[in-house]
Amino acid sequence: MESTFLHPETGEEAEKTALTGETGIAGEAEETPEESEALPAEVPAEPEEKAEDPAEASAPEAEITFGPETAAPAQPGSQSGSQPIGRPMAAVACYGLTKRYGPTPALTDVSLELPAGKIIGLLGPNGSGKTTFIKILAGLLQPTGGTVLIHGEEPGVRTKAMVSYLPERMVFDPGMRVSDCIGLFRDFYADFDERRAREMLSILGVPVDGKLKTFSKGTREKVQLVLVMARRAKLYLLDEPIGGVDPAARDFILHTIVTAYEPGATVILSTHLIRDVEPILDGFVFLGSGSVIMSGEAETIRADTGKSLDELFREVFRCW
Amino acid sequence: MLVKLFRHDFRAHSRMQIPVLIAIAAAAVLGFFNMLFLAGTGSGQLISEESDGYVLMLGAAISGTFLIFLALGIAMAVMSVLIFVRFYRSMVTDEAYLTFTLPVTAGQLIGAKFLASAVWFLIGSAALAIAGGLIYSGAILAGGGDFREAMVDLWQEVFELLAENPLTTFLLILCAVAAAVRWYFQITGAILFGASVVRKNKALAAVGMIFAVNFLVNLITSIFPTLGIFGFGVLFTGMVEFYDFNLNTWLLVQTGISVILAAMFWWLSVRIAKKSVNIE
Repeated sequence: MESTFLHPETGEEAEKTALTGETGIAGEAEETPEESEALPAEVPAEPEEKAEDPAEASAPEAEITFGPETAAPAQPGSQSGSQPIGRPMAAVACYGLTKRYGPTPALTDVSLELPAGKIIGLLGPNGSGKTTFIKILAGLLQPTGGTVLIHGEEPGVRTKAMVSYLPERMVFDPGMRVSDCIGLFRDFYADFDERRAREMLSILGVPVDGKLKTFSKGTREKVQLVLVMARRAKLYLLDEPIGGVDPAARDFILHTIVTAYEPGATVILSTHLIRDVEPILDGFVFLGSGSVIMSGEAETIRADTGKSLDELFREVFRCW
Repeated sequence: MLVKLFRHDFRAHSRMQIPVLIAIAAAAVLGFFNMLFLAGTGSGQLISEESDGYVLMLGAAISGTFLIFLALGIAMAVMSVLIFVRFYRSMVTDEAYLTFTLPVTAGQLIGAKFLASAVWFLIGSAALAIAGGLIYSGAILAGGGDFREAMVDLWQEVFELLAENPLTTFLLILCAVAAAVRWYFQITGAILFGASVVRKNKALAAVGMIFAVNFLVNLITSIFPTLGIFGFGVLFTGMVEFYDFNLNTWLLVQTGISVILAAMFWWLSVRIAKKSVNIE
């Protein structure tokens, strides 16, 4: 399934066909023979089809990997980590990431390296640890164990300046006006593009001087999404962005995600509504009971298994 | 970043506090006219004693005076509570998702909230003082007096009283400020601590922790200075040996205790904010 979008930055078609490249086995999860067949170790690289950031035109083509390629975890704060020379730094790297709420494990030994410039679907049933993982990346939760790095940095003040996070709930005071929200983003985020935000709000027909409490739930969520996507961030974390909205709103949200995100940035999108997001995904991570069950390139898995991500998801997470 | 945080916190507070300020203003105006009637004699009298219903109206005015002063007291209490409600909402509820993903340090967050709260507390206090002045002016005008002259006389008396003991006055003000700062940080520290130890019913936990912490702090601020000044003998005999009780010493000790406790609770608030979330 392919969808075509025009990228506002370059005007070129941003055809959502995933790049293929070297695909690692994600996490320390046990690998079944079927899984190892589904995720070949090497796939020939294909030239990039979507719009490139001209500044990165001369950079070596990114190797696509979801598994920790290096033997040792990268040192926090290290710009190059322990990555091989010439290999671009992973946007997100976790090594043995664990999170417990008291005695209850939410994430268990998650190890991943997510590349930059891709839209990654963090897919799993309810309670699989998707929100916990995203909150750790956003800096809202501290892991119980393991390491997590965002562009080589541990979550903190510096990563919050480069991460744009859309939570699954309304975070603005309902008494605020849209202009207040814009002012807040403008004041605290240097990468916030106010002009783009106002343009998107204008397209939506949202009055900038309107109070959030006078809007419907769907409109408030759209305002929140517009503000998040109007940032020229390096990493976008979208937690259940299309849950609980009508199909038309869902289309708008997915269109906004694909067309508004900064070229070269990474988008991690968590959802259990696979069918709706599959057309826009470059890669995927299946999270189940806090562990990585499967991960890889969306196009590769479709080609290898002959199944869509949605079908694969239903197979992997079958309830009976 | 501190200035930006302060600006946004100040505006957030204003959304809750402005209705209270309007209520204070309305009570002040009502109180002014009520005092004109109640205190009116001679030329200021609004209603003649011989008229029908005078007694009834007098009764209503007396009740009104009581209710207006009660309303002003409640307004000040509401303003204080709203300061902490604002803190709770921005640090513990869904708004915390926004607060703790801002690229700022824990110290900046807590510091900005304290500054915004302090400014609004001063605004509330000033509003109450103005309301009191307006009601007082009603009484002066109703009695046929000169309000300006009355205010000058009043402030002169206050200054003379304070100037009798300048050191005591200074220590009194210092002690009050230190106690207010300590009181703010002990409540915010209690809110954060209470909310961080439970996953559900955070509001209940926060309120419970406020009462527990306040009880403990009151114990510390009353027992230690008492022992220090009156001696340990008071514990065993229940009798106070009257040493040369020095008010200035007592104020200094209280100020010191408040400063130490304020610093402790500040450290606790920043630590909880950092540990529970990755702010730094």
